[in-house]
Amino acid sequence: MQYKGLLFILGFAFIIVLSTSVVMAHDNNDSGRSVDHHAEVGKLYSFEGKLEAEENGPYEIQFHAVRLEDDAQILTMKNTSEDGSYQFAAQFFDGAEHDVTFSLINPATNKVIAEKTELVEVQGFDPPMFIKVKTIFFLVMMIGIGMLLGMGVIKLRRQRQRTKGGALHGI
Amino acid sequence: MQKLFRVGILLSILLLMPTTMIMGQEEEGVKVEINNENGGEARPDLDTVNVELIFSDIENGSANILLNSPERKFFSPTDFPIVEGTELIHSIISVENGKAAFDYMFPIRGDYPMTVEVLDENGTVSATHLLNIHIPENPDEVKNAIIFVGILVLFGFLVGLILTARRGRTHAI
Repeated sequence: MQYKGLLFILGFAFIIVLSTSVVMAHDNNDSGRSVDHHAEVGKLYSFEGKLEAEENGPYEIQFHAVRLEDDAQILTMKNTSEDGSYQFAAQFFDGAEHDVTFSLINPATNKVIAEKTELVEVQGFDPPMFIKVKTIFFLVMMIGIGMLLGMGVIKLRRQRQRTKGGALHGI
Repeated sequence: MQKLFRVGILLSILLLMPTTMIMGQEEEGVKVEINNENGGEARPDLDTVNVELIFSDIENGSANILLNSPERKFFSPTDFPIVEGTELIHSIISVENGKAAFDYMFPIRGDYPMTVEVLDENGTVSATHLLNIHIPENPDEVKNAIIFVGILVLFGFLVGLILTARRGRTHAI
Protein backbone atom coordinates (compact mmCIF):
# COMPACT_ATOMS: atom_id res chain seq x y z
CA MET A 1 0.00 0.00 0.00
CA GLN A 2 2.74 2.47 0.92
CA TYR A 3 4.18 2.25 -2.61
CA LYS A 4 0.95 3.66 -3.99
CA GLY A 5 1.50 6.78 -1.92
CA LEU A 6 5.11 7.03 -3.05
CA LEU A 7 4.07 6.69 -6.67
CA PHE A 8 1.50 9.42 -6.18
CA ILE A 9 4.11 11.79 -4.70
CA LEU A 10 6.48 10.96 -7.55
CA GLY A 11 3.91 11.72 -10.22
CA PHE A 12 2.83 14.91 -8.52
CA ALA A 13 6.37 16.27 -8.17
CA PHE A 14 7.06 15.41 -11.79
CA ILE A 15 4.01 17.28 -13.11
CA ILE A 16 4.71 20.36 -10.96
CA VAL A 17 8.30 20.67 -12.17
CA LEU A 18 7.38 20.22 -15.82
CA SER A 19 4.61 22.79 -15.68
CA THR A 20 6.63 25.44 -13.86
CA SER A 21 9.71 25.33 -16.08
CA VAL A 22 10.11 28.57 -18.00
CA VAL A 23 12.16 29.28 -21.10
CA MET A 24 14.82 31.74 -20.04
CA ALA A 25 15.02 33.55 -23.36
CA HIS A 26 15.37 37.29 -23.44
CA ASP A 27 13.00 38.32 -26.18
CA ASN A 28 12.85 42.03 -25.58
CA ASN A 29 15.77 44.32 -25.72
CA ASP A 30 16.41 45.78 -22.25
CA SER A 31 18.89 48.47 -23.18
CA GLY A 32 16.86 50.12 -25.95
CA ARG A 33 19.71 49.77 -28.44
CA SER A 34 19.31 48.07 -31.77
CA VAL A 35 20.40 44.45 -31.84
CA ASP A 36 23.22 43.77 -34.31
CA HIS A 37 23.47 40.00 -33.98
CA HIS A 38 21.15 37.15 -33.00
CA ALA A 39 23.09 34.20 -31.61
CA GLU A 40 21.93 30.96 -30.02
CA VAL A 41 23.21 29.06 -27.01
CA GLY A 42 24.86 25.81 -28.10
CA LYS A 43 26.01 27.10 -31.49
CA LEU A 44 29.10 28.92 -32.68
CA TYR A 45 28.47 32.43 -33.90
CA SER A 46 30.83 33.90 -36.44
CA PHE A 47 31.74 37.59 -36.59
CA GLU A 48 33.23 38.92 -39.77
CA GLY A 49 33.91 42.48 -40.80
CA LYS A 50 36.42 45.22 -41.29
CA LEU A 51 37.51 48.21 -39.29
CA GLU A 52 38.68 51.21 -41.29
CA ALA A 53 41.68 53.21 -40.13
CA GLU A 54 43.75 56.03 -41.53
CA GLU A 55 47.03 54.49 -40.45
CA ASN A 56 48.50 51.62 -42.42
CA GLY A 57 48.67 48.05 -41.19
CA PRO A 58 49.55 45.55 -39.96
CA TYR A 59 47.36 45.95 -36.93
CA GLU A 60 46.39 43.94 -33.92
CA ILE A 61 42.70 43.30 -33.64
CA GLN A 62 41.02 42.52 -30.35
CA PHE A 63 37.71 40.75 -29.77
CA HIS A 64 36.11 41.44 -26.40
CA ALA A 65 32.75 40.05 -25.23
CA VAL A 66 30.96 41.27 -22.10
CA ARG A 67 27.74 39.91 -20.63
CA LEU A 68 25.64 42.98 -19.95
CA GLU A 69 23.51 41.74 -17.04
CA ASP A 70 26.48 41.45 -14.68
CA ASP A 71 29.35 42.97 -16.68
CA ALA A 72 31.12 39.61 -16.75
CA GLN A 73 34.16 39.53 -19.03
CA ILE A 74 33.34 36.47 -21.12
CA LEU A 75 36.05 36.37 -23.77
CA THR A 76 39.00 38.47 -24.91
CA MET A 77 41.29 37.39 -27.72
CA LYS A 78 43.71 39.00 -30.15
CA ASN A 79 44.79 38.40 -33.69
CA THR A 80 46.82 40.26 -36.27
CA SER A 81 45.29 41.87 -39.34
CA GLU A 82 46.88 43.42 -42.40
CA ASP A 83 43.96 45.56 -43.52
CA GLY A 84 41.67 45.76 -40.49
CA SER A 85 39.47 42.82 -41.45
CA TYR A 86 38.60 40.29 -38.79
CA GLN A 87 36.98 36.91 -38.27
CA PHE A 88 36.19 35.44 -34.86
CA ALA A 89 33.82 32.62 -33.97
CA ALA A 90 32.59 31.96 -30.44
CA GLN A 91 29.61 30.57 -28.64
CA PHE A 92 27.65 32.54 -26.05
CA PHE A 93 26.73 30.08 -23.32
CA ASP A 94 24.23 32.28 -21.52
CA GLY A 95 20.91 33.43 -22.97
CA ALA A 96 21.53 37.09 -22.16
CA GLU A 97 22.57 40.23 -24.00
CA HIS A 98 26.24 40.66 -24.74
CA ASP A 99 28.34 43.55 -25.96
CA VAL A 100 31.06 42.66 -28.42
CA THR A 101 33.81 45.20 -29.01
CA PHE A 102 36.29 45.01 -31.88
CA SER A 103 39.37 47.19 -31.41
CA LEU A 104 42.04 47.93 -33.95
CA ILE A 105 45.34 48.41 -32.14
CA ASN A 106 48.65 49.76 -33.35
CA PRO A 107 51.12 47.04 -32.27
CA ALA A 108 53.99 49.49 -31.88
CA THR A 109 52.28 51.99 -29.57
CA ASN A 110 49.48 49.76 -28.22
CA LYS A 111 47.06 52.60 -28.95
CA VAL A 112 43.50 51.90 -30.07
CA ILE A 113 43.09 53.29 -33.61
CA ALA A 114 39.50 52.29 -34.28
CA GLU A 115 36.81 50.60 -32.28
CA LYS A 116 33.24 49.41 -32.69
CA THR A 117 30.80 47.85 -30.27
CA GLU A 118 27.94 45.65 -31.33
CA LEU A 119 25.03 44.28 -29.35
CA VAL A 120 24.44 40.53 -29.46
CA GLU A 121 21.17 39.05 -28.37
CA VAL A 122 21.52 35.43 -27.35
CA GLN A 123 18.59 33.06 -27.40
CA GLY A 124 18.61 30.68 -24.47
CA PHE A 125 16.90 27.31 -24.31
CA ASP A 126 15.13 25.31 -21.69
CA PRO A 127 17.12 22.24 -20.62
CA PRO A 128 16.11 19.17 -22.69
CA MET A 129 13.22 17.10 -21.32
CA PHE A 130 15.52 14.12 -20.87
CA ILE A 131 17.77 16.12 -18.50
CA LYS A 132 14.77 17.37 -16.50
CA VAL A 133 13.34 13.87 -16.10
CA LYS A 134 16.76 12.50 -15.12
CA THR A 135 17.32 15.23 -12.52
CA ILE A 136 13.87 14.73 -11.01
CA PHE A 137 14.55 11.01 -10.88
CA PHE A 138 17.88 11.55 -9.06
CA LEU A 139 16.33 13.89 -6.50
CA VAL A 140 13.32 11.66 -5.86
CA MET A 141 15.72 8.75 -5.52
CA MET A 142 17.44 10.66 -2.69
CA ILE A 143 14.10 10.90 -0.86
CA GLY A 144 13.53 7.22 -1.62
CA ILE A 145 16.92 6.28 -0.14
CA GLY A 146 16.06 8.30 2.97
CA MET A 147 12.68 6.54 3.25
CA LEU A 148 14.30 3.13 2.97
CA LEU A 149 16.77 4.09 5.71
CA GLY A 150 13.91 5.30 7.96
CA MET A 151 11.95 2.11 7.32
CA GLY A 152 15.04 0.03 8.01
CA VAL A 153 15.64 1.73 11.37
CA ILE A 154 12.09 0.89 12.55
CA LYS A 155 12.34 -2.66 11.25
CA LEU A 156 15.68 -3.16 13.04
CA ARG A 157 14.27 -1.84 16.32
CA ARG A 158 11.27 -4.16 16.05
CA GLN A 159 13.49 -7.09 15.23
CA ARG A 160 15.60 -6.37 18.30
CA GLN A 161 12.53 -6.11 20.49
CA ARG A 162 11.24 -9.39 19.11
CA THR A 163 14.53 -11.19 19.80
CA LYS A 164 14.44 -9.82 23.34
CA GLY A 165 11.09 -11.54 23.64
CA GLY A 166 9.21 -8.40 24.57
CA ALA A 167 5.76 -7.66 23.18
CA LEU A 168 5.38 -5.18 20.37
CA HIS A 169 4.25 -1.91 21.83
CA GLY A 170 4.20 -0.09 18.58
CA ILE A 171 6.98 2.50 18.66
CA MET B 1 15.85 -5.20 2.60
CA GLN B 2 19.56 -5.20 3.46
CA LYS B 3 20.40 -5.48 -0.20
CA LEU B 4 18.36 -2.36 -0.90
CA PHE B 5 20.23 -0.59 1.89
CA ARG B 6 23.57 -1.41 0.36
CA VAL B 7 22.48 -0.27 -3.09
CA GLY B 8 21.16 2.99 -1.60
CA ILE B 9 24.37 3.74 0.26
CA LEU B 10 26.49 2.91 -2.79
CA LEU B 11 24.41 5.21 -5.00
CA SER B 12 24.68 8.12 -2.56
CA ILE B 13 28.46 7.74 -2.38
CA LEU B 14 28.66 7.68 -6.19
CA LEU B 15 26.52 10.80 -6.55
CA LEU B 16 28.37 12.78 -3.92
CA MET B 17 31.83 11.94 -5.18
CA PRO B 18 33.84 15.21 -5.34
CA THR B 19 35.33 16.37 -8.60
CA THR B 20 39.03 15.76 -9.10
CA MET B 21 41.35 18.74 -9.19
CA ILE B 22 43.76 18.63 -12.09
CA MET B 23 44.57 21.81 -13.98
CA GLY B 24 46.25 21.88 -17.35
CA GLN B 25 47.98 19.22 -19.32
CA GLU B 26 51.33 19.33 -20.98
CA GLU B 27 51.71 18.09 -24.50
CA GLU B 28 54.68 17.93 -26.78
CA GLY B 29 55.27 21.32 -28.40
CA VAL B 30 52.67 23.32 -26.55
CA LYS B 31 51.78 23.81 -22.90
CA VAL B 32 48.59 25.31 -21.53
CA GLU B 33 48.44 27.37 -18.34
CA ILE B 34 45.37 28.70 -16.59
CA ASN B 35 45.88 31.84 -14.51
CA ASN B 36 43.07 33.00 -12.29
CA GLU B 37 43.36 36.64 -11.23
CA ASN B 38 41.17 36.04 -8.19
CA GLY B 39 43.51 33.28 -7.06
CA GLY B 40 42.65 29.65 -6.49
CA GLU B 41 40.93 27.35 -8.94
CA ALA B 42 38.91 28.76 -11.83
CA ARG B 43 35.21 28.60 -10.99
CA PRO B 44 32.86 28.05 -13.95
CA ASP B 45 30.57 30.95 -14.91
CA LEU B 46 32.22 33.18 -12.27
CA ASP B 47 35.94 33.68 -12.90
CA THR B 48 37.44 35.06 -16.07
CA VAL B 49 40.76 33.29 -16.41
CA ASN B 50 43.77 33.91 -18.59
CA VAL B 51 44.48 30.85 -20.76
CA GLU B 52 48.10 30.96 -21.88
CA LEU B 53 49.47 28.68 -24.57
CA ILE B 54 53.24 28.36 -24.51
CA PHE B 55 54.73 27.08 -27.77
CA SER B 56 58.17 25.55 -27.92
CA ASP B 57 58.33 25.21 -31.70
CA ILE B 58 57.42 28.74 -32.87
CA GLU B 59 58.25 32.28 -31.75
CA ASN B 60 55.84 34.44 -33.72
CA GLY B 61 52.93 33.59 -35.92
CA SER B 62 49.38 32.54 -35.29
CA ALA B 63 47.40 29.59 -34.03
CA ASN B 64 43.95 28.36 -34.85
CA ILE B 65 42.25 27.34 -31.62
CA LEU B 66 39.19 25.12 -31.44
CA LEU B 67 37.83 24.83 -27.92
CA ASN B 68 35.04 22.33 -27.23
CA SER B 69 32.96 22.05 -24.10
CA PRO B 70 33.04 18.88 -21.97
CA GLU B 71 30.99 15.94 -23.22
CA ARG B 72 27.70 15.17 -21.53
CA LYS B 73 28.00 12.76 -18.63
CA PHE B 74 24.95 10.82 -17.54
CA PHE B 75 25.55 11.01 -13.78
CA SER B 76 26.72 14.62 -13.50
CA PRO B 77 24.44 17.20 -15.08
CA THR B 78 25.77 20.78 -15.28
CA ASP B 79 24.23 24.29 -15.16
CA PHE B 80 24.14 24.59 -18.98
CA PRO B 81 23.08 21.24 -20.48
CA ILE B 82 22.67 22.76 -23.96
CA VAL B 83 26.33 23.82 -23.95
CA GLU B 84 27.69 20.32 -23.17
CA GLY B 85 29.61 18.77 -26.06
CA THR B 86 29.50 21.81 -28.37
CA GLU B 87 32.05 24.15 -29.95
CA LEU B 88 32.89 27.19 -27.82
CA ILE B 89 35.66 29.04 -29.66
CA HIS B 90 36.96 28.62 -33.18
CA SER B 91 39.29 31.50 -34.00
CA ILE B 92 42.80 32.36 -35.01
CA ILE B 93 44.85 34.13 -32.36
CA SER B 94 48.30 35.61 -32.65
CA VAL B 95 51.42 34.06 -31.13
CA GLU B 96 53.99 36.51 -29.78
CA ASN B 97 57.34 35.46 -28.32
CA GLY B 98 56.19 31.85 -28.25
CA LYS B 99 53.03 32.69 -26.32
CA ALA B 100 49.38 33.02 -27.24
CA ALA B 101 46.76 33.99 -24.71
CA PHE B 102 43.07 34.67 -24.35
CA ASP B 103 40.81 35.52 -21.43
CA TYR B 104 37.80 33.30 -21.03
CA MET B 105 35.05 32.54 -18.57
CA PHE B 106 34.48 28.79 -18.74
CA PRO B 107 30.76 27.99 -18.57
CA ILE B 108 30.69 24.60 -16.85
CA ARG B 109 32.95 22.17 -14.98
CA GLY B 110 34.68 19.32 -16.76
CA ASP B 111 37.41 18.52 -19.27
CA TYR B 112 37.58 20.85 -22.26
CA PRO B 113 39.28 19.32 -25.30
CA MET B 114 41.20 21.95 -27.25
CA THR B 115 42.77 21.57 -30.68
CA VAL B 116 45.57 24.02 -31.45
CA GLU B 117 46.72 24.27 -35.06
CA VAL B 118 49.97 26.15 -35.47
CA LEU B 119 49.89 28.24 -38.64
CA ASP B 120 52.95 29.37 -40.55
CA GLU B 121 53.34 32.71 -42.36
CA ASN B 122 51.33 31.52 -45.37
CA GLY B 123 48.47 30.39 -43.17
CA THR B 124 49.00 26.68 -43.67
CA VAL B 125 48.89 24.28 -40.73
CA SER B 126 52.38 23.27 -39.63
CA ALA B 127 51.46 21.30 -36.50
CA THR B 128 48.36 20.18 -34.62
CA HIS B 129 48.22 19.75 -30.87
CA LEU B 130 45.46 18.25 -28.77
CA LEU B 131 45.17 19.67 -25.28
CA ASN B 132 42.89 19.24 -22.33
CA ILE B 133 41.79 21.89 -19.85
CA HIS B 134 40.19 20.78 -16.62
CA ILE B 135 37.84 23.12 -14.80
CA PRO B 136 36.67 21.92 -11.38
CA GLU B 137 33.22 22.69 -9.99
CA ASN B 138 32.70 25.75 -7.81
CA PRO B 139 33.25 24.52 -4.20
CA ASP B 140 30.25 26.59 -3.02
CA GLU B 141 27.99 24.82 -5.49
CA VAL B 142 29.29 21.42 -4.38
CA LYS B 143 28.60 22.40 -0.76
CA ASN B 144 25.07 23.57 -1.62
CA ALA B 145 24.37 20.38 -3.58
CA ILE B 146 25.48 18.25 -0.63
CA ILE B 147 23.27 20.28 1.75
CA PHE B 148 20.29 20.01 -0.62
CA VAL B 149 20.71 16.25 -1.11
CA GLY B 150 21.18 15.91 2.65
CA ILE B 151 17.88 17.70 3.30
CA LEU B 152 16.10 15.44 0.78
CA VAL B 153 17.53 12.28 2.36
CA LEU B 154 16.63 13.57 5.85
CA PHE B 155 13.10 14.36 4.69
CA GLY B 156 12.77 10.87 3.21
CA PHE B 157 14.22 9.35 6.40
CA LEU B 158 11.68 11.13 8.61
CA VAL B 159 8.79 10.21 6.30
CA GLY B 160 9.94 6.56 6.22
CA LEU B 161 10.33 6.54 10.01
CA ILE B 162 6.90 8.06 10.70
CA LEU B 163 4.97 6.06 8.10
CA THR B 164 6.51 2.72 9.09
CA ALA B 165 5.95 3.38 12.79
CA ARG B 166 2.32 4.31 12.18
CA ARG B 167 1.79 1.26 9.96
CA GLY B 168 3.20 -0.94 12.70
CA ARG B 169 0.76 0.54 15.23
CA THR B 170 -2.33 -0.09 13.09
CA HIS B 171 -1.22 -3.68 12.59
CA ALA B 172 -0.64 -4.08 16.31
CA ILE B 173 -4.24 -3.06 17.00
